[in-house]
Amino acid sequence: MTGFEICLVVLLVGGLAPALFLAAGGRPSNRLVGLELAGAVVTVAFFLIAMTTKESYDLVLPSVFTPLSFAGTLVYTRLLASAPRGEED
Amino acid sequence: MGHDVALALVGLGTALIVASVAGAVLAGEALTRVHFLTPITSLGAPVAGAGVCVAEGWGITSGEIVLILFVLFISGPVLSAATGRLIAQQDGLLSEKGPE
Repeated sequence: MTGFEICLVVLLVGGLAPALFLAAGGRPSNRLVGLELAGAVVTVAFFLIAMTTKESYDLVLPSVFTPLSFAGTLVYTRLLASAPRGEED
Repeated sequence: MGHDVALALVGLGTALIVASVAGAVLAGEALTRVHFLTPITSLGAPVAGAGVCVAEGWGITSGEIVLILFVLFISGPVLSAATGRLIAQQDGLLSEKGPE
């Protein structure tokens, strides 16, 4: 196992798993924070996956994922802000 | 030498990201948790991305990585601010009407 693969495993176990744990419970606005953290961690994980597979076309994944994640999260903040009280929990 | 530098940068970036996520998990309140996104997008990811660029060398691949990191760098504080505002409004710390 190369050093980059070890970093990828550490990132997924130590970064993505706790972020998904945060995204799994609590109020929707609190879960949104976990989603944002997971999105940032996944972007870096995509870099390391592209390095370990040695295929540069794997970088298409983070180049599409990053702006979509940004826009999607902003849409969620807007939707949660306009949700009637009582329907958020 | 270049491989060692790249691995050191990727390792450092990974450590920063894992530490930020750990801080977010340990933080009690959501408004505190929101602050831990920016160290990932502004510090951890660029350092790890720099390591990948050093490993890949100059080329279109490194340019693509820099572009992705730029988008991530810009998006982190914006998302933190938007989410922080949402949470503050729901907790009653801010009025729910935004500025006109």
